[in-house]
Amino acid sequence: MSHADDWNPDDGPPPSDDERASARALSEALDHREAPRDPDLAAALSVARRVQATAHPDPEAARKVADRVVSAALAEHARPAWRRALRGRWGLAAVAAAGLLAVGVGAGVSATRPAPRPVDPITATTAGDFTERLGENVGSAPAARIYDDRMRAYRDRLLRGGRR
Amino acid sequence: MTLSPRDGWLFAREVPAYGARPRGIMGAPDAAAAEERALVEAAKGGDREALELLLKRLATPLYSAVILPRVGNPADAEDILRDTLLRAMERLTTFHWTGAGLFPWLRQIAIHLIVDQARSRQRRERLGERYEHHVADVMPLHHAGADEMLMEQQERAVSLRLMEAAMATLNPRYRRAVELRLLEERSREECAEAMGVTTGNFDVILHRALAALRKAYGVR
Repeated sequence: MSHADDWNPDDGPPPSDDERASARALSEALDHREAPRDPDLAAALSVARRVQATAHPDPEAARKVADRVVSAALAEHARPAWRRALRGRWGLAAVAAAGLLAVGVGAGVSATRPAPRPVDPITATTAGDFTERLGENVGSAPAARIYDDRMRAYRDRLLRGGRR
Repeated sequence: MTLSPRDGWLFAREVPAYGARPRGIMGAPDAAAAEERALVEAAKGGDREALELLLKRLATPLYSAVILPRVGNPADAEDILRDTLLRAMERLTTFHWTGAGLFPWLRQIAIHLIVDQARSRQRRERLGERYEHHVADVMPLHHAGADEMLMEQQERAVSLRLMEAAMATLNPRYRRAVELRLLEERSREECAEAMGVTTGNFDVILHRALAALRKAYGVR
């Protein structure tokens, strides 16, 4: 017998296969504790649970839940206000946003700094040849002579491969 | 307290009046109200033990008779209870004592949170749920120091009235499906047999009945 043949028109229009599948899933979910992922199914199940909770309360289970939640809430309330503010979905989002901001700023700062360039050994040993302090009693020497002396020392250093 | 059609759940109207604790349990109502007021004042002053005593006394009726019958899903109801208690603790200094005690104040916070949750879920999932916040017509008369069992019965009577009103909007066969499966807690097969349909068709009828009930139920 097909589905359409055994459907009572008093119960509305004949269901589609999709509706039958959803109805079957809801019926099975009613016998289990886990909530279905489909939002419409979850909403229908929560209505069923409301009816059940209204008509068939479970005082012992309710007392256990309430005691547990009171203890947890008191413990949470004892924490500093800023830590309490970071609870729940928005708290996690705030922490994640702060983390991303810190990483982004750090990456930006390091990107603006020039990376250190490799220096060859000769350049490293001759780097101070033109900037080192003048020796004693050279105050009256012409600048051109000082420069020539330094240029000569620099050239000799290059020819020796950087050795002094 | 489990209600069934045989117990007359559909017409459950006789609920003990609020305020009077049973004799021999907590003493006279005035003494109980004075005790609750003293606990509230102590808790406002930072007395953690008083706060814990108050919350433990009121959390069970709040969860089982106010939150769970309006939310359905136990995990969501637990979250609402936790948020209610945290908000109450944060704002306890703003609470002004009335003869109704602390419970109606907690109840109001809980219902605000339930409605907020329903609105946010509706925005997120485009559900066709109805939510209302006009609680005056379904607000029981509270008295400070009332026994928890009486509070629970009074609140449960409100929940039953809401459920009956929603059920009354269903067509008779849909209502019968809900009664058989959820109120009488029969198996799918028994329900299908009682309604003279196949189990597959019974599933569809119940599915449609719950969709219709969801629209009629709302959050109040």
